Amino acid sequence: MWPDAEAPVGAEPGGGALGVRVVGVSRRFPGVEALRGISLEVKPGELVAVVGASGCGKTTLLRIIGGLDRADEGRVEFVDAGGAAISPGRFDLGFGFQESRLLPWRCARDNTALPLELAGVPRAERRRRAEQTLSLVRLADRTRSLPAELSGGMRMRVALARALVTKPRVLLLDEPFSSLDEVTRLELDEELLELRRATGATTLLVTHAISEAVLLADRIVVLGTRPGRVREVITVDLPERGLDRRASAGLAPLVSKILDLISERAA
Amino acid sequence: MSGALRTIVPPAVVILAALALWEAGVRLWEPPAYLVPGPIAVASAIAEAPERLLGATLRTATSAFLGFAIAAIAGVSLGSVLSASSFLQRGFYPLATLFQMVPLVAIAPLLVIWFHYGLGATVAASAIVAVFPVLANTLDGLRSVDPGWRELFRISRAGRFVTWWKLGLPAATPQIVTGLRIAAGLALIGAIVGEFVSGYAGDRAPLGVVILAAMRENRADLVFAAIALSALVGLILFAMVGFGGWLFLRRWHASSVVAALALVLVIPFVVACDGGGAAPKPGAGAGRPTKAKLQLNWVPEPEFGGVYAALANDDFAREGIDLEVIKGGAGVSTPQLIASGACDFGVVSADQILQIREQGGDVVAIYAIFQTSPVAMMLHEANAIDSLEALWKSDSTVAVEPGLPYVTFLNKLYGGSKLKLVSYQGALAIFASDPTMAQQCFISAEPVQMELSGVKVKVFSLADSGYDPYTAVIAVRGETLRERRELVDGFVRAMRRGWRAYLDDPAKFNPAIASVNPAMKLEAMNLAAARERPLIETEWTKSRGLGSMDADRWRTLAQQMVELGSIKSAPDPAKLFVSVP
Repeated sequence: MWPDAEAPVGAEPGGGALGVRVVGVSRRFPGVEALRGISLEVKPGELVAVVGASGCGKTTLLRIIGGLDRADEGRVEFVDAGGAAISPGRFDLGFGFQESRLLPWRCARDNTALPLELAGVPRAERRRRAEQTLSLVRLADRTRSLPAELSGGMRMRVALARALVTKPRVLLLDEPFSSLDEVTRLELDEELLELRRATGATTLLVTHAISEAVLLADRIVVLGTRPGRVREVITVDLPERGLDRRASAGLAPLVSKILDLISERAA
Repeated sequence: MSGALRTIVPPAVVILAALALWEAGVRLWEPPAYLVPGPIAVASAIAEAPERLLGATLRTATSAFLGFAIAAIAGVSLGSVLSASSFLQRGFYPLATLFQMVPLVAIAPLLVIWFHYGLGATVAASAIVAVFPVLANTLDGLRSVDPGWRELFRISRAGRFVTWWKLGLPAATPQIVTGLRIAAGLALIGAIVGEFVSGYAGDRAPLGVVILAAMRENRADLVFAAIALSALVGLILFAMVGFGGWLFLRRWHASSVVAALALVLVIPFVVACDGGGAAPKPGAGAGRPTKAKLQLNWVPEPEFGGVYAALANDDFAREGIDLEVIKGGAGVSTPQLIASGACDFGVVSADQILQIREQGGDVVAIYAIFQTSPVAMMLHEANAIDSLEALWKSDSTVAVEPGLPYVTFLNKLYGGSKLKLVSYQGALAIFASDPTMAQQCFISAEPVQMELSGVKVKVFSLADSGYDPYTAVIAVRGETLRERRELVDGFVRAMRRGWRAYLDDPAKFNPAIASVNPAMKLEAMNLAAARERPLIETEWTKSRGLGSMDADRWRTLAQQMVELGSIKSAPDPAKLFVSVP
């Protein structure tokens, strides 16, 4: 399980997205059973959304996958394109959180470069890569701005750039745009899709917004509440992606199906 | 820059208005200069001796800046170490809190023993009082770092040091700057309080000692001038912290320059409370018997033996006086207390009477306990120096009470350019710990205590040098003399009877003194009484009565003080004392 101390410092990604295999993961906190027997498989390069009511354990699941929390039972594996299980290196996972978590005393470039800096990448190199990544999120002209000088949407873009700067093979996003207004959020959703096309990283997106999940994802994992367990995995079989999907006839039935699943009481 | 103007103009206006009001008040009510000098008088006190005050300010600034720097580095380091472990934190934090509560004045004499006179001890005093707020704020700041940020560093597998350096320290900077702001003011106060005990006197005096000396000379204008200059040092220190913090915080934290300036305005008042004497209120009382207060200038010792003998024998009661005796000590300024009417009778020295009269205080001597000054220099017996002159020409460290005219007299007589003068506050341990040191003493007091504690000493009397003011002189306000002559005469008669009884059998009355001064052993008091007797009862008193004074000696003293520049003109001796038949 991540992290792996053996991974070479500053290594370039080994190339190619990784798959994620979650096997029978359970987690309990004092007085609460958060997750029970979760199993799911994410193929390399796939975008999977995890949806569920508040408190269903979506965030806990993502944190266990990312190695920020431990499972009481079960395990998480990462597999390469050939299907072999590997230990992810320190640059292989990218994290996005609900809050931007930018350091207020650092400009956009230096915030973006933080994971490289902490891994000992030389200054010139990490600055170049940070600036490159910032231009991916359309902030090439704001690299020296401090967080306080950026809008909420821009701050989230910087946070996204920070997650991407190590060229991760798996991107773990925990409700990354939930604090933004609807218009900005749709904008960023579109950008996320573009970034994925550019990087090809496997993406796990935890969200409480069903519409977002439906617009972006290849597959949607619906979690039930208390204990959190997989209620259903839905393959989104719609043409197009992002905003273009809104026109699709299959969209509305899918949204109401997921809503029904989430609002059902016991399984 | 209009922004800078906006932060400077309001406090400047307020300060100027306050100064104008102050000056107007002084002109309107005309309080005596030794109580409340006006700002113009204070400014001219600075203009009068600019090198002396400027040098003193620089010395104090050096102590405060060094103390602040040490406190800042130590506070941030200790706070960081404590934040790294909850065990250390729980173990050491209460200790650090205790450190904060140590009364500086109490440990200052120890600081002198450990770090010696001058810069070392004052810097230590300054750092000790300033370190805690830095430590506490650093700890608080580091503990309240956003856990989300910490997680980012954990994800990137950052080590403890890197996390502290790149996350903890910058995130805690607003709190650290707050701590440093508080520390800046405290460092200055610490330095000045430290100087009270450990500062050099004379030419190398820092502001703290200038304040002490000015208080003894009854120069309220000089006290205020020194306070104003120390406030200036505080202001500069504070502005530096504010500027440093602003550089770092301006872009991402709302750092309040206004709050900084507000605190700057508070500093002078804090220092004033620390250094200045409280304004005494005039007291009045008439009844039967007449209540009266006697303010001593030192703790109860055999030098006041006659007072306690008279109390024990009801001599005051027989004169219709219900006398209350108030203890003195270092920092009690008896001349001002008399001049302001806070006490009816007070113990001073003859030169102080001349000084306060120069300042407009109407103080008159009525009874001189010591005909010959008991002031002397005390040295370790093994010291090779064999005379007062040899001492004054050496490079020894000598502890004296700042502001005493005899130091200037000896400097003039012998030249004391190599001498290291330091401030004497009554702590004998410093002298005892240093065999090369000399210090001022009362022949009947310190040498006796030293010998009883096994330290062999020798003394050189000041009177032999030709400077011999009446010492332990009881004085009253001129007003008291004019309006309550009966009281004054009765007091002197009771004193004579008391001293007669005491000189005849001191051992009978010493237990009464010992009961109000447990610090001095009965054995020491009996020895002291024997030594002081020849200084109190002389050929003169045998014909004129105990405590009576001679106009010629007052005239000599006044002339000596004029020559020393201690006063401007010699007054008519007849105005300085009264004789009670």
